[in-house]
Amino acid sequence: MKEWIRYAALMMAIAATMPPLSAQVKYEKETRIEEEEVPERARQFIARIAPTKNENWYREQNLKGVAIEVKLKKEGDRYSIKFTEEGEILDVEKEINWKQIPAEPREEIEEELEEMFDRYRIEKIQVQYRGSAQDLITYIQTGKQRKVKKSMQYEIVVNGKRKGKYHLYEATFDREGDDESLERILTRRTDNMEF
Amino acid sequence: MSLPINSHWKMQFNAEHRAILLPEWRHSAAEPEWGYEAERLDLTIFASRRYRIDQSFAGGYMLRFIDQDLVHRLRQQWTRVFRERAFRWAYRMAADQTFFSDAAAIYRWRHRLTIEIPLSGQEVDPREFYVKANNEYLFIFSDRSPQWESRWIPLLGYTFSDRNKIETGLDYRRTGRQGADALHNFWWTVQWYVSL
Repeated sequence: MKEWIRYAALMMAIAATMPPLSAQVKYEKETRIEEEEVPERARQFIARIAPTKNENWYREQNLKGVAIEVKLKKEGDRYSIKFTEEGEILDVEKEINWKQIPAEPREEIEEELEEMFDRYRIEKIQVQYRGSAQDLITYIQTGKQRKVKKSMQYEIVVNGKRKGKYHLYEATFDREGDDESLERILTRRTDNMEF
Repeated sequence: MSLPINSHWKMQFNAEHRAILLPEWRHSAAEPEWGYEAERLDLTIFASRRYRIDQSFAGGYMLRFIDQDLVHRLRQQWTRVFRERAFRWAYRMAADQTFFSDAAAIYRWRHRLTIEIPLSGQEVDPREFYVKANNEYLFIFSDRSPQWESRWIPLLGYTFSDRNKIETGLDYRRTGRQGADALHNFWWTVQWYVSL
């Protein structure tokens, strides 16, 4: 009940502050948590992909509910791994650069972005996989995508101009490079950095 | 206090009061006692225009009440805020012109770096603490000697909501003067930001 009230309050606060938009809105509130607060299954998942570096755990409140997220580095790559509150794996995201997207989907994505925005600059690219815990662990450990390839998505954070206004967006594309969704990221006010 | 007009423009109203808690000490009394001396009150109004997602241009006018006198100041500034993985930082370049009733005007050229680091998570979310630090350099031109000032301002902040945050900390100012010893000023500052 308490969660429901918090969710409703969050929705109302966002609705009250937002102008009408064709893109959906993305909102996330991350709070750092200690490893002891992390569900056992999530900790076991991370233990199975050891060694990792710079592990930081977060509780993430988003418009869909609550998730547990760990951000870490493994062999030079940055991962974000998301779990349910019970510790069940949801998805694995790895940061990549533009050139790491295969040529065909990359050209498709470029065309889609040019259609979506008058001007844009790519801020971050993540490739996302979903699947069973074992298949995702195999992917992280070996890079083999065979069993998780179907779920592959590209999440691209774009600083873009649409309808004369600049905003931060998260655009999602499938593995062929076709657009799946476009969400506007709510950015924080900067008054205390300007004055 | 910030008042958004539309997605590009906003007005910013600042009220700043400065008080001295050891006024007798300031006036070289032999045995200083705690007291209260209202030193100045600044009222400022800015018009600010956002440019792209991360930049803003602002122009403002300040009226200062000090020693039963009025001081007028104009300010122009450009700010760019950079969002990094786990913190934000900003660069501000500004110029201001200060006019007195009984003295020549003072012109200042200012460069400021600001960093804001959340103490929980990767962004400062509602009901979270953060640390912020300003480092500003001012080049001051007047009919007296040219001066330069550096300011170091470490702050602890708390955000009640994205529209309401408070910051407090030390404000250290070192003013260098040609042919004289530098002046050192320490202030304790409390800043409250509200957006309507």
